[in-house]
Amino acid sequence: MFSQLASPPKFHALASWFWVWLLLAGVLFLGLGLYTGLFLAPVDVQQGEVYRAIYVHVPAAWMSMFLYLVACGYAMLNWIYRSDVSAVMMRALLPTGAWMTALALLTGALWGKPTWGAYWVWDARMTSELLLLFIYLGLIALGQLATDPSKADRVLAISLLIGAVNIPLIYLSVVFWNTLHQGYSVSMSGSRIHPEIATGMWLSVLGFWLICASTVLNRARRLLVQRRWQ
Amino acid sequence: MNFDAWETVWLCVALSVLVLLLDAWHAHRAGPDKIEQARSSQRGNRMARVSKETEQ
Repeated sequence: MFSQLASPPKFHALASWFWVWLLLAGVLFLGLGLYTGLFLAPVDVQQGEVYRAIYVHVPAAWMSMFLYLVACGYAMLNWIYRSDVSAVMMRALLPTGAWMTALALLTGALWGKPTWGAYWVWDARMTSELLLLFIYLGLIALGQLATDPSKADRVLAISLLIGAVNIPLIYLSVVFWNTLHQGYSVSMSGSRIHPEIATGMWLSVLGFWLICASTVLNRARRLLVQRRWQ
Repeated sequence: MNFDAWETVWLCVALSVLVLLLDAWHAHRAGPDKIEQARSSQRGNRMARVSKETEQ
């Protein structure tokens, strides 16, 4: 099954079919999540209405880290198998990851002003997330530098894996340092968010995940055509 | 500039939709340019025709 996915024609056919359906499902779930979160969820006792920014801020922040980890998985596959599919997937994930990181930073800044009184503070969580954006931008630029695609893939794969050190740093920044950013609300042991508030958030997370998967597959199949065509 | 709570929430939602749309549009433009692809294939066909004619 997995070896079949490494075949460029099969991957292209599957991605060409899946990306449209993933997009439609993503729009549906995001719409449901936003409707539930913005119109049905109760008001937060401490923050009032402004807490509703979680319905876009949290999915974007999670996607920024998740997409990086998935790109690292493809970087390892590319390092071992040198397949075209792993190379284009690794490259296709980076722009979406960068967009999600920028979105998490922007929505966080907008949320920070009414709650903390400032758009930006050099807090450990925010600074490490900003560093992630720079890593994404650096990797995108790096992928376009070398003229030999296979050499560029190898350099990109190593750089991606080195940059992965920032992901646990972002995740654990609220534990290691005394941050203005709040601590975990959702962890492996469970969620501390009220179910009426959490429902919309999980729907939005699923919507973001599906839309990002659709965009990445669409980009990957196009990059694959370019790679085979050149 | 200060926004009230609902203005902040709607601004975040609008930004998210804009970013998702921009990313999708950017992804849809990735890969080879269709005009260049068509030109290249035309060039290839022409070269094949010329080489056939010279062989004859």
